[in-house]
Amino acid sequence: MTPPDPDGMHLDDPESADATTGPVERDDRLDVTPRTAPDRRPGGSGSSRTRTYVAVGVVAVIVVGLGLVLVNGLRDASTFFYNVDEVAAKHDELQGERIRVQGNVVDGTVRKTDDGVSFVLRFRGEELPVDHVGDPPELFGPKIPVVLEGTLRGDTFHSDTILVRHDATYDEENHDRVREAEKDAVTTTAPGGPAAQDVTETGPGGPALGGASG
Amino acid sequence: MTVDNPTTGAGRPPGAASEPPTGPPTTGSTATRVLGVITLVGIAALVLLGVFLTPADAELGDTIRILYMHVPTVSTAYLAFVITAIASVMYLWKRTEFWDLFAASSAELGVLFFALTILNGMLWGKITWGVFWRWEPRLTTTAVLMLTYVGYLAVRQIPNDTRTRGTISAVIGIMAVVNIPITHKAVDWWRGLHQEKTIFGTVDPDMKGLQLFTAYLGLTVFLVLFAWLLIHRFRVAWLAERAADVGVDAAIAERRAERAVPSSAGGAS
Repeated sequence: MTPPDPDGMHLDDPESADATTGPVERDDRLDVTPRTAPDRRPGGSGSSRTRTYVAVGVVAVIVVGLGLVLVNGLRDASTFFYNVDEVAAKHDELQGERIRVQGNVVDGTVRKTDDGVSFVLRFRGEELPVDHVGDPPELFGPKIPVVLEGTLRGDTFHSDTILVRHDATYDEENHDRVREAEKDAVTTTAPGGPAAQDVTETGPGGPALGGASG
Repeated sequence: MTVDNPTTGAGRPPGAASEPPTGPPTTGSTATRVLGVITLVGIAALVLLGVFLTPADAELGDTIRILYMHVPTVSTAYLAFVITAIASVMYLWKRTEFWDLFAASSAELGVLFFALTILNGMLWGKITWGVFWRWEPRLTTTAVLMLTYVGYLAVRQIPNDTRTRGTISAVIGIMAVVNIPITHKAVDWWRGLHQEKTIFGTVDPDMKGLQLFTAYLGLTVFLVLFAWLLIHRFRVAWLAERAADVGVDAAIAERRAERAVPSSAGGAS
C-alpha cells in the first residue's frame, strides 16, 4: 500500500484550484473508502447492510424451499408407486384415488385405442388391465417395466402418464432387464431361473426394442 | 488467468508462479498449465468417444451418451462436497484462512457440477422416463442436497468478520455432507424412478467394452478438470482476500489523513 502523506496536504483542499484533480487522482486506487461512499457512514443504510438483507433473504428462501421439498418429497417419495400385486390386494381402498402403479407390460397385450393404448400390466403374478389416454413415450413397448399415473376404477386402471423405468443395464440384450425387474418378485421359480414366466412368454434373448448394439 | 490487484508483488497466492513483482498476480503455475493441457486433451477424447465412437445402446439409443457426462459430473460434485467437509473440519481445527477458502472454493465448484448433473439428468429423464422431474426419492434428496450447498454459499455472503463467517460455514459444510450417502443410497432404500447406482454399484458387469471405458474416461477427465478449476478458484479467492485487506488498510490510512486535515471534513470527494 501507499504510505499516507504525513502532512495530509494532498487531500482535497476546498480552496485550491485543483481540488478534484492532481495528486488525489493518482492515489485514488482505493475501491473501499469511507469518503467516496457516503452511504457507508455509521447509522446509514449502507451497502453492507443491503448485502446482509439480500444474503439473509436468500438464506430464508432456501430454508423455505428446503421445507417445501422435504414435505413434498416425503409425502410423495415414501410410496412413490404401488406394485401391481399391492394394487390387487388393496383393490377396494384404492378405488378412485390418484396413484402410481409399477409393473411390466405383458407382451402381446398392447392395443392401440382411439385416444391412446390399452395393455395388461403384470407384477408378481398379478395382472392389471390398463387403459391409457395419450401418446405413450418413445421407449414404451412390451416387456418393459413402467410406472403409470392415474386412477383405479373398477378393475381397470385409467392411466394418463406412462413413466418408463430403466435399470442400470446398458447392453445389447433386452431380457436381462425384465429379469432384473422381477428378480425378487418371482417366488415360484427355482433359484437361477428368475422371471421364467416372462422369459418363456417372450422367448429368451429376444430384444423387443431396437437393434443390438453389437 | 490474471487478476487485477491494487498492489504489486504482494499477496501472491500460495503455490502460484512467482513472477517479477511488476507483473500482475497470476493464478497459473506450471502445475495448472499441465493440468489444463491434460483436461483439454481429455475432453477432446471424451467427445470423440462419447459422441462418435461408442455404439448406441440397444434400448436407450443415443440417450446413453448423456451418461458419459451425468455420472462424471455427479461424482465430481460429491467429491467436491466431501472436500468441503474435510476442509471445514480442518478449519475448525487449525483456524487458518487457507482451509476456509479451500472449503468455499470446493463447494462453489460442487454446486456448479451438481447443477450440471441435475440439468443433464433432467434431459435424460425427459427422454427415458418421459418426464423432466418427479418427486421420487433420488431426485428429492438431490434437490435437498443442491439447496443445502446453495445455502452454504449464500451464508458466506452475509457480511461477518472472517472468523465468524468461517465458523458458520464450516459447521454447515460438515452437516450438509451427511446427505450425500442418503442421496446415493436412495435408490436402494426407497422405490423410485431412478435406476440403481452406477458407480460403487453395478457398472462393471452391466456396461461393457468401449462404453465402460468411455464412462471411466469421463470420470477421469472431469476429476482433472475439477482439480484444475479448484486450484484456480482457490487462488482467486486468496487474491480477493488480499485485495480486501488492502482496501481496509487504505481506508484506515485515509481516515487518518482526513483527521489530520480538519478543514476538509465537509468536502467529501
